[in-house]
Amino acid sequence: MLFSDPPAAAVRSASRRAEEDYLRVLMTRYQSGEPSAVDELVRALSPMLSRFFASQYLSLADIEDLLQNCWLRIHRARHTYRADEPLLPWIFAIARHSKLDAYRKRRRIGSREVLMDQLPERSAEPPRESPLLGLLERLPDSQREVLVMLKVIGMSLEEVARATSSTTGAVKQKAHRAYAALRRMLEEVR
Amino acid sequence: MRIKKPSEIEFSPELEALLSSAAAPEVEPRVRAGIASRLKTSLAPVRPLASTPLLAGEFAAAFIVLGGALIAMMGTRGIFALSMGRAAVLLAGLTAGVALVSVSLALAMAPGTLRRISDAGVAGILAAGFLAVAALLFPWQPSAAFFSEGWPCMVSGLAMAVFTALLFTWLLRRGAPFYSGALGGTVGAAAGWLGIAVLEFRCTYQSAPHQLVWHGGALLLAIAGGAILGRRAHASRRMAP
Repeated sequence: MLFSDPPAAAVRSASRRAEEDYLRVLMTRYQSGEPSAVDELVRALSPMLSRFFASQYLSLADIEDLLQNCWLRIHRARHTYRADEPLLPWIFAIARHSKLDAYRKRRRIGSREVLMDQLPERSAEPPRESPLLGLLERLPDSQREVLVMLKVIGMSLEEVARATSSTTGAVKQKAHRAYAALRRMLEEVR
Repeated sequence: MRIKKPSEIEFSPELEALLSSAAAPEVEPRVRAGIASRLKTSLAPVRPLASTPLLAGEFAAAFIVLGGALIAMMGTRGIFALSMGRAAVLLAGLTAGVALVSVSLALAMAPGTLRRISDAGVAGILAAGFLAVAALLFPWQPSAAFFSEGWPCMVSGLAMAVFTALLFTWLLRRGAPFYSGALGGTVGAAAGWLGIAVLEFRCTYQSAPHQLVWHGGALLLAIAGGAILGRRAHASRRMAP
């Protein structure tokens, strides 16, 4: 029940399977060196990837940088995709590493920065639809990441486990904890 | 929007809907076009990786060929000094370890593969497995020459592990786009495992303290060294996009 009600899940999984099959075909064409497959894949996957990166509450410029960096990594690692494996976990495993590396890089740069008397204005604040969604920011990274993949991207437990090099049990546990934390936070807000 | 009671959130369609409709920042079409055109500049057909069982077979074969060559060079006095039962248990354990690291390394070649055991779990199973088998299988006999008998075993075990780690890193180069501390630990565990496998064939000091400290120590140092080098390799790679 936590992960979705059965009829909605059935409809979603059917459309997801068709979408996944289409993406796999595109990926195979990309591996064969077809330029049109690159355009289609970038157009189909970039919105999902930018949603995933947006969970880090970055500015749009940072999300675009991360997206470009991620696509370069996907390009370099494209031979490691096998057509008999699901595509989204492969893509999000790479995206996750791009995100983690970017986070570590920002933290490293941040630790060397000198404080100024007056802070410059931030170029762009990440979009926040509601206070409830803003609460996601307070979740630990690993829980937020799992929740975003499951609920925002719409991946299955097994796909998230594959993308995070984890087990389905561990993913389920993180999702439960994230929900419990969200409940606690909402209680505080109220 | 009405926020439901906290107790309802877990089953709340409202929260489900809210999360699944989280606003995606609109990436401009020119950015997507820029990405696509950049990728197309170096677009060439690539040959996909072989299947996981085939890759696991390659790693196992590399392990057996290298291990066999080292055993042939260093001798088999140790294994023949054991009773049949002990030798059988030891060989079964070593074979299971080879299978475990081969599959683990093969899975690490491609991102997004389903793991039953994490990299850290593989290293932990090998270390705990060897220490447990050594503690139960060999007699607890003290030795007056504990250090002088032991350190050559550890040095030669580590030397073989370094050589093996280089071979496995070379085999991993076609895949494994994220070389991390965890993967480094698995490579170290595989290399250390080969080191102690050869030692078990050669070494005639068959007491539990010797096995635990000098052979087990070589395995633990190989795992730690692999993890440290893996982290460093990851740090140096992530500087590039």
